Amino acid sequence: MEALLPPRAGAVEMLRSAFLRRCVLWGYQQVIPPLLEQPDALFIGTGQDLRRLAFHLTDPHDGTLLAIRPDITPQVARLDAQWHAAAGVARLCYAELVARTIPETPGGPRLLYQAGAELYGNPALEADAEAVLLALEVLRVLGCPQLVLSLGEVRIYRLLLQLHAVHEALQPPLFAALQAKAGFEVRAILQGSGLDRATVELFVALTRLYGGLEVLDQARALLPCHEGLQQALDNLQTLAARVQAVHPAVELHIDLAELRGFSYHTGLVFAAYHPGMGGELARGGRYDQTATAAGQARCATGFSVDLSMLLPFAVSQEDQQPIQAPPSGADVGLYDAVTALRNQGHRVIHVLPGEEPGDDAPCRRLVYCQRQGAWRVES
Amino acid sequence: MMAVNQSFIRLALPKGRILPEALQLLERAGLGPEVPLEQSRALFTPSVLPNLVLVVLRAADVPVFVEYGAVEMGIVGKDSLMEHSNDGYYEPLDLGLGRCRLMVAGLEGSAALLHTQGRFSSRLKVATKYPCATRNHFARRHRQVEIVPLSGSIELAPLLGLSDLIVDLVATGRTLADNGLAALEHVADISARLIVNRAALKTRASLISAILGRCESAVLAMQTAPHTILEQ
Repeated sequence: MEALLPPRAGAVEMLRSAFLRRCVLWGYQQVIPPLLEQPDALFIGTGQDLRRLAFHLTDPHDGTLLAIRPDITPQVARLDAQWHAAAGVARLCYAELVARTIPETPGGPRLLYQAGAELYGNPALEADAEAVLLALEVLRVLGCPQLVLSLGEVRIYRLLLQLHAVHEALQPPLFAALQAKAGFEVRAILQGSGLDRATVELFVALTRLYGGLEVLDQARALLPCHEGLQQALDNLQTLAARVQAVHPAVELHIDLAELRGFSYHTGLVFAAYHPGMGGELARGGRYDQTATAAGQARCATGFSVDLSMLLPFAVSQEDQQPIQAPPSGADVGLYDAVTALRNQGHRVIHVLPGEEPGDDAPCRRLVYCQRQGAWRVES
Repeated sequence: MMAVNQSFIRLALPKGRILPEALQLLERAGLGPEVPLEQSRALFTPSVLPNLVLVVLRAADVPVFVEYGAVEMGIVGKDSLMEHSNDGYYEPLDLGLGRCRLMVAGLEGSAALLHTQGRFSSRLKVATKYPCATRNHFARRHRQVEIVPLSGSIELAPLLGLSDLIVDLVATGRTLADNGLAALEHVADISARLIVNRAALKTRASLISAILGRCESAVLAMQTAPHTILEQ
């Protein structure tokens, strides 16, 4: 839990407002879900992973258990199911704090500035494309110069588990080995499980289905003929073509075994990276919800970013020193001159009696020009 | 010092028992150092493969450097990996080097301790360099144990009455036998793994895939002719 000091605090706020502004320009409406909620409300439709990530505390008022949100997406999905389900498509965005018991990246902060956009009520690939294109545009607007977009599909692994009836007890170690891309571990786990050799080798091969767009052709040759699997691959192909057409500079990566961080997702998933940075900049995908007590079943797709990951790209607005004005005193003319500068977007401070200028950086001063009878800025 | 920039892939090698075998494997894969490591005082050694740089680190630090993305790839024993959360890296290749086993061991004739109370209290005291792997092993067996973390000379712990048992790497079992100790229970098979930073595999896919492919071929070649290593 780190305190943000100048200029990083200002940069985060600038990123936050630029993020929301761009989403609003795409027709998204801002929501502010509560920081604290009863755990049952917070984790509707999500796996146990999120519960593990949440700080819990007891409400001294009535002894009930409360949790601090570790992720905003499930909250926004619930708000949508409760309030917008009848309205057809809903586009919502947010930028708020979340707290996690385990940091997202090793040694990383446990307090994150999560910003995201979610699109509800449409099952079409067009909606997924909107989420991906908005994510790429937002990252570009926030200053990220070079991007790698990784696309995946969580249904491929889940369908293979179903089709080959992999025993439930084997699924957790298989999942872990698959996430480590440890093909040799996958083979060791599945050998002797009653699965035939070809099926074992199919799961081993899944660990290698990553790379450029050629991976989609490899997957077509490798995966069994099944409508769901083929549809998943077709969707990835179509989406990749859309992204290439709009963002030719974005490098595309396909990874058909990537499931980490996508615990509640149900279809296409994506993540954006910057070469030279060890973590993800944005992550998202489809997470269609089944009907719950909180509301109707809703299709959903979207993405989120941790704004602090984008700080290296943020151009600080406070690079230039503020204009130094004399103590305001009772001089209405000075007050008006300062207000006019501030209205134009300049930062102005009244130097207090005894206040030393902060550092040696060249500063600009507001001085009274006797000849012109007016206040003017001098370097 | 040579400059290391973003166009390089950095491969971390562990100091210690795996290093000579790892270097042999890299040489066979056409990824060896340009000059022998012992002749170089530099912190980074360029590989004969352009754009690959070798860095030698303490074994326990290799997964940390890879997780944080300070180096893109690393070679490290599974014993060191078991002490980390494995969220920031992939583990695509078992190099088959430095094979041994992580075992629970104790004084000869003390096997009954695994099923009874400890000498000191109802909780067994277990000394180890591998607290995470040890905790997970006994948790899977629903045994509460007190872990005594040590950094070396683990065999001394039961001999001097510091602990009931130890968890340590066992290759031949000779060191244990010489000290009146015996291996009691298998924890994990250990060998060196090639690990890759998650983001790097996506952002530097072509070069990393090429290095992985070369290593895999070298591993296969060494598995079919393992005697070449033993002879050298």
